[in-house]
Amino acid sequence: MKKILNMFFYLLKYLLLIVAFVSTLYIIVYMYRRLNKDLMESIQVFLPYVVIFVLFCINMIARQKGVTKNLFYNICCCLVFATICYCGYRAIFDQNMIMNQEMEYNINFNYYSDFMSPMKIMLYGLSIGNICLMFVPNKKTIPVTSNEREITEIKHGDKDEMRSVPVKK
Amino acid sequence: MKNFICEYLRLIGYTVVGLVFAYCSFYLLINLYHQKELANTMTYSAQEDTVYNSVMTKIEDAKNKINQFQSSDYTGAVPVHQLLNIQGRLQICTRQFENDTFLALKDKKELTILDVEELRKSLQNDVLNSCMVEQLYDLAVADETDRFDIPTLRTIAPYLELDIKNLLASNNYLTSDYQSNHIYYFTTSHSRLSFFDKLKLGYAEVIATYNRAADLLVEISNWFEEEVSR
Repeated sequence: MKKILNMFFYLLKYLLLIVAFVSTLYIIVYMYRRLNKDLMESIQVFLPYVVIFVLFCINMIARQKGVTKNLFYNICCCLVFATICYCGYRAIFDQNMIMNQEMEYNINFNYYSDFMSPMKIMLYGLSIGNICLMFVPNKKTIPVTSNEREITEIKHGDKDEMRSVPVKK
Repeated sequence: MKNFICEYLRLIGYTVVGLVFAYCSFYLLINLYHQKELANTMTYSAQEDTVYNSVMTKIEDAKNKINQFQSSDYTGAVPVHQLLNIQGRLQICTRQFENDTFLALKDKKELTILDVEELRKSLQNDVLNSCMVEQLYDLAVADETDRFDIPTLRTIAPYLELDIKNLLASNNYLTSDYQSNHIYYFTTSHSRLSFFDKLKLGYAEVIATYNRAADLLVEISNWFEEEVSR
């Protein structure tokens, strides 16, 4: 069950990453065109996408199980990308936000520009988490010999005996 | 040592991912809630809205008083062309009050935030700009322009100017409040008061401003009625 869930979220995160990136690109291109700003200045918005995409590629190529088989990380990625998609959707389609109609741009740039900082925080957070989870410690099993087992049993026995001895006043 | 560092790195990784998870969940939930709040509707009936009916009554009252003046019957000291000028201004004002958006409220069964915004825009454009500023403000500054040589008008002019400025200021507050409805905060008691129920409070504010503007129109029409009957 866990494997199926993990596989589902693993694939979903790539899909959502693409949708989130496309929605951000669409809004940012329109925003910068409207502001007559050079599109090269928007690199700082897309940099976290590039970083996380590179990290995902490394995870996939190097088959890093610490990340790819990590259900919590995959769910978190899906949640972050879904939030970005949802905010993009609201910026374009939520007509109840007055500025969307007032400015007549068909995109609520005011709303989306407020969202850009949290978006960067979340994407960089995922990147840092990804890098930290890449390293998996080698768990070596330490064989327990029969002698050691006996020693531990005797020690436990001693403790029980000691507890049973009445304390002299 | 390597294992020790790896374990700690994983610990930091899980902490960071956990924080991102919490932040993102919060952000998603507050956005969902904000969207739901903005999509709220309010059941409405113009017949039961006392303020709306009061505005309509005041406009009718003002209309009757303004239209009573017949230049051919006037025998007073004030030049007739000045009174005709004022009558024309007041007639334009009553027409601006009865704009399409305001009259459309009669047929509404429910109000959305967009309806309130439309009403606020009609208040700004038709009532405040086209009526108060373009038509009545000249009466308020009669002293400075010398356009109207009517002593009683000069008496009420300072109050008229003050009332118009107050009306403009109250609408400026509404405009900034509504146009920033895309902003949402961590919910404090203050933001709860200022943001939640924006629809109901916004409508109450707009219709109250309409009512105050109608009061001003009635006052001027009262003055006009007295002036022409001298």
